[in-house]
Amino acid sequence: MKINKKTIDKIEDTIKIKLTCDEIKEITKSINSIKDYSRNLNQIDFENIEPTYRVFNLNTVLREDEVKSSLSREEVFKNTLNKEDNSFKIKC
Amino acid sequence: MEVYYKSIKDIKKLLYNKEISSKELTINLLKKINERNEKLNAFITINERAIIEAERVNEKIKKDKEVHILTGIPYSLKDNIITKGILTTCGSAMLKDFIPTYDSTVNMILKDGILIGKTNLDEFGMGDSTKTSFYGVTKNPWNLKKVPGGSSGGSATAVAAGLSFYSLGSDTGGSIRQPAAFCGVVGLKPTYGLISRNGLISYGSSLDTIGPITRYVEDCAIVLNSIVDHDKLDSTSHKKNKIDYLKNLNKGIKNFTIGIPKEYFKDTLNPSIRNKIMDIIKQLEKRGAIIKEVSLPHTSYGIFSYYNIAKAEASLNLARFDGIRYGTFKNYDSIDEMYIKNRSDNFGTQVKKSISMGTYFLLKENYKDYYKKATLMRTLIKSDFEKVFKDVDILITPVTSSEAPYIDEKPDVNYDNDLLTININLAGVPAISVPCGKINNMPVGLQIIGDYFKEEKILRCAKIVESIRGKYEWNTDL
Repeated sequence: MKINKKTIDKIEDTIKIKLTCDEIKEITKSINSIKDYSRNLNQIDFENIEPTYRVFNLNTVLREDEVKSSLSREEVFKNTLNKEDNSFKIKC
Repeated sequence: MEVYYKSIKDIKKLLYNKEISSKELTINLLKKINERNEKLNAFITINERAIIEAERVNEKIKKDKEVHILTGIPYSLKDNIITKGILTTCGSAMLKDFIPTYDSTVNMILKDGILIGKTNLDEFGMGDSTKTSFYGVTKNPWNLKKVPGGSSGGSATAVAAGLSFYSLGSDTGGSIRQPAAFCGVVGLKPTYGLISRNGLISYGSSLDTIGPITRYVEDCAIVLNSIVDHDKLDSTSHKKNKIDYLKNLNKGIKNFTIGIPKEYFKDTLNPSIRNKIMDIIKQLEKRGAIIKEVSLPHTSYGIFSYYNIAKAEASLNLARFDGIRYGTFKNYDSIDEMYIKNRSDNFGTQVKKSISMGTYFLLKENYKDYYKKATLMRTLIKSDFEKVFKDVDILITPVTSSEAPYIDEKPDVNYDNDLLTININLAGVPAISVPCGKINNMPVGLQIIGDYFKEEKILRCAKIVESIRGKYEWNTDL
């Protein structure tokens, strides 16, 4: 997939960041350099290879369904500027 | 030797023989940081409560001689490890007001140590120079015009400059080992899952590990002993029987088979670094090790695999910084405006680049050819290590392909340095960087890689390398 204005618009909309022209140039250059590396992969046989998403295959770790203490309301809201009563408040 | 460069055991003796109190040590260290930090910029935050903590611990030491070895000893933490009540910034404007309301597991474990401060880093751990922090550039204590490496550059500098008896950093693709090499200190990236990541602000969740940065190999083993534990708060934390990493530390490497992977000794490797490492290998052979050339055939594909995976994971991990729970803007007209304002203004260029790259690789039309393929390649890279460790005990390689660059040098676009460290994170095996000498008065690191959970073997070899290298003259004239 070529990196054109449409691609950049899609990325910006997904990540909710407005990129400057210089940033777009740098990002395009970096992506293209990784794309160059992908061309060497044609010589690799991936038949019967499973993907690795994590180093060890740990099963989902559960705990007993017991009530345990957690953060207080004060602690939860300590670092926000967007609070009203006991809720995070934002404009839609 | 100046007290600030002493080993953990030596400082412990002074504390327990009451030749110095934890409070005096802390006050004097804070004075030293005050003198040196302006030049070095190793610290973002100094712990205002350090002296009070030292007073509390003094009492503990007076009453009980059998306290933990790290009790009363000042340490530092990379500023992506959260600390309850103490500013934690990740080197970013996004978190410039963030005071965590809970503690990381590692900091809770070290509660009777004296947290002296939070060290500088590349923003959110994304970098290899400690030039990208919102809080300025950290300088290499061996040459103030050079970078200390990154992203744990602040930690490596603090330890090398005698401003911290040890530090904890984090390593996603070399971020402990490379700055340790550039700053002439020991840096260990443990096996993935050995140290709890609870409280480590994530970059690449399947790659990140916390690890010790120390001046001496024995200190590294002491710190590792302290921070290894299964943690229910980290679902990737391993349940393993605890090992005493000090027990066999001095047993040497006789009959160890040491593999030298040819892919790590490319023509682009600085010849002086190559010669230093080869000299050490010859000395190890004289001490009874069996040296064997080996191959990790998928090494060069690590760049594709690592950058896809690390950046994809970063883009997901940093999505939480939306301005709602932690952010710096209150006035906005819509939620989109809030997101865009917060994220555009508060992330630096490197972080925006990482998030953008990761998002690109995860787009529906790209996923199969990029991210998915990267995970298949990761399987092959991991398998290379698993196969080679059937034949050898450890591997030895360089940590960096060149000396520490100058701060004003243009960033290197070739990935030679990355290839020496990133595959270790993809596989999840442990590796240590140990100083093996100097070139042009700048330190050089040697990397020892081990099989899963074989930190004991790599520490044993690192101890021998340290003794071959000989006494280290710290740069006390800063």
